[in-house]
Amino acid sequence: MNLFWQILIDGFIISSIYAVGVVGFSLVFGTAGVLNLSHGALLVVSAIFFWFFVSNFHIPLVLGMAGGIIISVIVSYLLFIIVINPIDKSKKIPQDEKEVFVLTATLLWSMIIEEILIYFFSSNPVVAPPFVKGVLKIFNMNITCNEILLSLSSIVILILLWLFINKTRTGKILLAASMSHDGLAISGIDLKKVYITLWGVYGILTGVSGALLASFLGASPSSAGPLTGLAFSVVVLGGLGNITGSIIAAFLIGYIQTMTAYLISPAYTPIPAYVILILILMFKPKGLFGRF
Amino acid sequence: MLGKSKLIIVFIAIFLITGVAPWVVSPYIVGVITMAFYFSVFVMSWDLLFGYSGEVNFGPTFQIGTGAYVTALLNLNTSLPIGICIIGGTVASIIAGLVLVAPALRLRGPYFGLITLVSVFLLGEMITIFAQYTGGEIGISIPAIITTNQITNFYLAWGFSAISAIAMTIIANSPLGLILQASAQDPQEAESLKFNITKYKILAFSVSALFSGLSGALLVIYLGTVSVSLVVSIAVVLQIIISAIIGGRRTIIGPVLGAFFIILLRQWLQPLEQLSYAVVSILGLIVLMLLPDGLISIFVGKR
Repeated sequence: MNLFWQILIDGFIISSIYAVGVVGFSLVFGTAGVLNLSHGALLVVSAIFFWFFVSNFHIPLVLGMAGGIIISVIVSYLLFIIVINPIDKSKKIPQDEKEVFVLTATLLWSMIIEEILIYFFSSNPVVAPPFVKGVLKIFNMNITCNEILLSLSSIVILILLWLFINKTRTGKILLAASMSHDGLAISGIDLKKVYITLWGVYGILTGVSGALLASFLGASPSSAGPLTGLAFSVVVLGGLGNITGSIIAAFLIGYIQTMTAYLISPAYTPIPAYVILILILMFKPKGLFGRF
Repeated sequence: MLGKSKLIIVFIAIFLITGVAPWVVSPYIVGVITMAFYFSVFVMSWDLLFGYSGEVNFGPTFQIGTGAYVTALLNLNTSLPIGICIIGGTVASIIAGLVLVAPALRLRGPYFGLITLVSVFLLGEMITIFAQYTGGEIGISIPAIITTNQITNFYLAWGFSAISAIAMTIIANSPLGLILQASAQDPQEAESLKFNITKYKILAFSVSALFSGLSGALLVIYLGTVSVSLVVSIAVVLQIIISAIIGGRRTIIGPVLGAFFIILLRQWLQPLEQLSYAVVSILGLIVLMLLPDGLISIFVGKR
C-alpha cells in the first residue's frame, strides 16, 4: 500500500515538472512548425546558469532563476535569428528539404551548446539548492517541501499559460497562428511579430522549467540529448502541437517512468518513453490527441 | 546531377594523393588517415540512404554500433576466427538496418528521422544497462588484431574505402539508384509504374548497413577497442551528417572529401580540446546554411 502512495505522489511531482518542460516545445511546433531538437540543450542552459549564478554570486535563488531565464530567452532568440529564420528564408535550400535542414541544424545547435557548456562548466551534473527546506510526512512517506513547491509551481505555470493563450490578445494570436498562417496575414497581423512573441515565450517557459529541473533532478550538459528525446516522446504521444495533449501525455509518461523505476529497476527508467515514441510513430503518428 | 567525369577525377585524385601518405607524412598522421578511411565509409553509406533514397537517417550509428559491438562481443566471448566475427557483426548490422525498413515505408521524412534518432538513444541505453557485457560508458578492449604493421593497416583501410566508394557509386548510378530516387521523389508515381518500392527500400537499407557495419567491424578490429563515444553517440551521428553535407550530398565521392575534412580538422583543432567539437559543429552549421550543396559544389559546379 505504501508503494502505491509512493508511486502516486512521486509520479505526480515528476509528471507536473515534465509537463512544464515540454509545453514550450509543443507550442513552437504548433505555431511555427519547428521541431526543435535543441530543446533539451535550452533546458540545460537555464538549469546550469541558474546554478552558476546562485553558487558563484551567492544571490537569492529567485534572482538566480531570473538570470537563468534571461539567458534562456537570449539563446532562444539566437536560435531563431541564426538558424530557424535563415533556413525559412533561404532560396538555396529546396522547399521540401527544409524540415530536414531544420532538424539537422537544431541538432547541431544542441551539440554546439552542449560542447560549449562542457568546456566552461565541465560535464559534471549540477544540482541547485532547494527553494525551501523541510520534510513533510504524508502516508508514512517523507516528501521534501521543495518537491511539493516545485510541483505546485508547475501547476500554477500551466494555468498561467492556459490563461495567456486563451484570454489575452497576444496569446490568442499565437493560437490563431497555430491554426493558419494565411488567415493571420489576412487579418493584418505581422507574422514577424508573432514569431518574436513566440520565441520569447518559448525562452521564458523553457527557462523556468530548466530552473525547476536544476532544483529537482539536477542537470548536466550531457542530459541535453536524453531531455530532447523525452520531450519528443511526450509531445508525440500527446499529438504534435497540441498543448493540452502534451500535458496529459506528460502525466502518462511521468507515471509510467515512476512505475518502471519502482517496480522494475531505476536503470530502465528511460526505456518506456522511447518504446512508446516508436510505437506511436509507427501506428498512430498523430498521437492520442493529434491535430496534424 | 553533377558531371560524372568530374566526380571520377575527384575520386582518382583523392585515392592517389592519399595512397602515398605512408611515405610522406608522420606515422601519427598515417593513423589518423586510416581512421578517416573507415569513417568515410560511414559517411558514404549515409549518403546512399539520404542522398539517393531520401531517407532522413539520424541513426547511422544504430547500424554501425550494432556491427561494431557484435564483432567485439563475438571476439571477446568466443574463440571464432576474426573473419567470422567480422561477418557476424556485419550480418547483425544488416539486421539492424532492416529493422528500420518498416518505419521507413510508413513514415514521411522528419517522422522517420525521429525514429532513427530514438534507435540510437535506445542502443545507448541498452549498452549502459548491460554494462557487465558491454563495458557500459567505458567500452571494452578486445584481443583480436589483424596486423600490428601500420602500413598494412593503412592500405587495408585505403583499399576498403576505395572499393566501397566504387561499389556505392556504381549502385547509385545504376537503375537501382534511379528507382530509389524516383520512389523518394514521388512514391505513388513510382508504384504506379509497377516498381516494388518495398523491395528497393529493403535493398537500399541492406546495402547501406552492409558497408557501414563492415566498416564498423573493421574499425573495432583495427583499434582493438569499442565504446559508445566511438561508434554510437549522437556526436558521431552528427559528424557523419556534417561530413556528408560539407562534402556534398548525393555524390558518394563528396562525402569522402567531407570525412577527410572533418577528421583532419578535428586533429588540427585538438589543442582546443573540448572546444574543438564546438568549432567543428559551428563550421558544419555554417556550411549547412550557406552552402547546402557542399564543398564539392565549388569544385564541380552547381547542380
